Amino acid sequence: MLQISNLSVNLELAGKKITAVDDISFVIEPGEVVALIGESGSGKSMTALAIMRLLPQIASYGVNSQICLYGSNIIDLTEQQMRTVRGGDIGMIFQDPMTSLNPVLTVGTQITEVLNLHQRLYGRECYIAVLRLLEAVRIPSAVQRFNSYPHELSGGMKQRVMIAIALASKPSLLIADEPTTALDVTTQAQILTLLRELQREFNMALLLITHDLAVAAQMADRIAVMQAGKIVEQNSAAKIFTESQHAYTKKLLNSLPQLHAGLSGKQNLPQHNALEVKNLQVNYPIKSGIFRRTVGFISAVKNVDFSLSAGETLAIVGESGCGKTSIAKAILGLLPGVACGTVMFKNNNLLQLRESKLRQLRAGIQIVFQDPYAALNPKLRIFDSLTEGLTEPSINYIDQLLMQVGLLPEHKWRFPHEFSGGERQRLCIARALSVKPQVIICDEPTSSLDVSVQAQVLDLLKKLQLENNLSYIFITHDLALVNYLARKVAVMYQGQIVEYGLVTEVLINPKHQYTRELLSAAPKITNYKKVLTD
Amino acid sequence: MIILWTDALILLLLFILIWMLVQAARRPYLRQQWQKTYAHPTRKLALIILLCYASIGLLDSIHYKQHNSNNVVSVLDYLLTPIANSVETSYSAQFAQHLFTKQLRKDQDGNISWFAPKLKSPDHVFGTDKVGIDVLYASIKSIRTGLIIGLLTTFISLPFAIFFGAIAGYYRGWVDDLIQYLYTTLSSVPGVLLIAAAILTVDAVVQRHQAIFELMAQRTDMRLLILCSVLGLTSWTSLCRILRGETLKLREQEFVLASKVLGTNNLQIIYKHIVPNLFNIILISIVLDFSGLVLAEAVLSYVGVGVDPAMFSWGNMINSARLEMGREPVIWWSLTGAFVLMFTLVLAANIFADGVRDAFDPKVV
Repeated sequence: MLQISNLSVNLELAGKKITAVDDISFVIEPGEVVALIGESGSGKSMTALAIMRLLPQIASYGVNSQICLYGSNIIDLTEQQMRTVRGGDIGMIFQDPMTSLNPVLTVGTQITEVLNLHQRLYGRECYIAVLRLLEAVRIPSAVQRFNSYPHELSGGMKQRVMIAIALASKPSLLIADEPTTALDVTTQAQILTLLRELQREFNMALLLITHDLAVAAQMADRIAVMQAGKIVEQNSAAKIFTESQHAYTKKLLNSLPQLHAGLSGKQNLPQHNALEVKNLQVNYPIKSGIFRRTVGFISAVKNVDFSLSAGETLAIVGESGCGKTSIAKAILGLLPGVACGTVMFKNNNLLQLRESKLRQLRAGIQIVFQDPYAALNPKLRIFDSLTEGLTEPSINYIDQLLMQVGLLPEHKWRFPHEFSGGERQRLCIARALSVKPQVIICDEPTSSLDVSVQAQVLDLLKKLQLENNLSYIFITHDLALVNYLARKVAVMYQGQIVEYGLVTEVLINPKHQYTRELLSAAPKITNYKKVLTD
Repeated sequence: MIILWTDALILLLLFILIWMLVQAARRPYLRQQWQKTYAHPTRKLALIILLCYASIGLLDSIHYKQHNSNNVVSVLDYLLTPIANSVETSYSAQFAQHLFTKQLRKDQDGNISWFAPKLKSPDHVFGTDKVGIDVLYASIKSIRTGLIIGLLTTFISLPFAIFFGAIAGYYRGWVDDLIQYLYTTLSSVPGVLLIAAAILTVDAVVQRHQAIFELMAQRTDMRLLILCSVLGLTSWTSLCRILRGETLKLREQEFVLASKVLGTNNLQIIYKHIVPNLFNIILISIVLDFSGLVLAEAVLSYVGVGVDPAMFSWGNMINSARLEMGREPVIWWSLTGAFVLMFTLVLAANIFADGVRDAFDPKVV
């Protein structure tokens, strides 16, 4: 149906020519699911945009590029003809449902627009078609939802609406660019199931672009692996996972943390308590009126208890909005007046200390953030960022610190923008280490990194833990990481810890309904592993 | 030697600038960035032009009393003596031999005829204005006024804008409310009204204390200073609003949180993390405001509350050009003189600011 041959995309940046997609060829048959996997910057999204002819202005097609849809080359179509292809024969859904819907139009209006344009449906007929689409993407009470604005819907709902819009023109090919990356695990599972069902129901072909091998394993019939603009390997999904040929594919597969791989590597033995949290509550006040009187509270964290031994890792797992980050901020003393309860650290309750006393203890608990791009001041040299917490900065110490996290001493005079995501995360870890803390809170430290980089950063964290006897609070939504890194785990749901215990017990024998849901929702490639071992 | 108030402030600015340059030269990476920026030919040109303007402004800021008279003149006047003294009686076109306006003449036979008198010196590049002063000379003398209004006003308003903007955005709560009420109130009072009130008050004060302001130059200078202060005190609000918004965004950034966790206190965070990241916005708005302020001076002169009419300024020149443009045939050269010099200054300042921003923005290398 869609045949791509010798597709190249060149970007021109500041006079330099960069080949973003390098001579790739693949075929999508009707009703087939093809996954394009690769790390960030490998050219996956550029390929999708090239198929839609939505390339940015600085990009151009290579000389021999051909994208044939039913035998006619898309690249030769006029812009007017192309408009009937886009959202007609080919539908597309994007990564972030929060930004791909127009916030000032109702859901119904946005779907109606597409139906007017491509199906020429109007009035009552159109209204019924919209309702049918909303039902098709399993949106409950479609009639009410017709008049909802995007902000009234959850992330998963929005992505469903996006899918409905893409389906409105009855496309024969649906391109999904990281459709679930911005969603929680359980929502992700629902959306993936939905996509799979719809693909069968409408007999569409689906081009799934993802960085997540497990998602690809769950969805795809065929998989193409991209690296640096090239397709290095393509094969049926089963073969990719069982008998991968290319070294890069193998590397990707190996760097994937496994859910049931069991505790790996050395671990510190449990020692004295480093941190003890008792009855922690975080209530954000709702303020209104001219005088900002508090009229109510939003309870983000309710009665949370846990303890952390020196040298141990505690994972906090849960979906977005469950209060994980609020716990982190509360422990760090960043929520004065909002958090209450006790956080015992070095025989002090951090929540009741005066600002000056708290400042002295601050060095003991550090944090590594999710987004390494926002976590370093772009205007400061690395040296200045790393010495911020030190009273007597010495060049030798910074050199040591950089080497400890696997960077070079000469990196200290650079600016953050000169580093890749993984290197930046190392710098953030170095900054946290600079003040010799006992506890480091890692707030989703690897979720914005590629799989192979993620593995390196996790190994680094483990190594540092053993060397410095650090305690980690590891906040994540990825259960596979929990198993790889942590000894204890706390599962959070709506501000409460619903299950708390040793990782080995909780993951193998989950007691709470929600933990079980999380475990089953996490996409796995174990099915194929079985094939491998058989 | 006489040091006027604005002279003193200009000297102060000069010292601050030199100090900043010395600081920048001490840090190897800053020096590197600046050198890289000035390898760029247009920016180099812009810098040279700005330096020319600055040196003219400086020469014009060293005043002394003329020999046995009460006239205060500057070093620049001394250097420009030939064109300063070649004052005609009225308008003349550029490089003209004769006056532009004709006069009646009665010859020996009693016949009356029109004739254009010969000029004293036929080398006025931009011609002369209504009272016969060389337009080029007037435009050059206006440089100091323009620079003072642009620079002093900015430097008066900048600390308010940065301090209040950063504090309001960073601390939020009642501090934010207070500052917001302050600038909302201030910006809802028409600026021209405030300026008019201030200028008229100062005029009255100067009238009453003739003893202190015995020289004409001192009086005009005081008026200029007050004008700058009032412009400065009323114009920080818009920049403050923008900076507050940006700070609100920055304070939630993770590097600010990380810094807090490292035990840095709030003022240090503002100094180290917030303000450097506001720099782009500050710089752009300084340059845009600079041209705006030079133009505002013209508007105020039109209303009659600008700089003293006796002072050379582009605003006064543009103001008087209003009538000249209505004449037939048109007298366009005195506007052109002001326009060319002002345009060059503002353009050079814009290009220069681009360079400065790049030098301070690590991403552009």
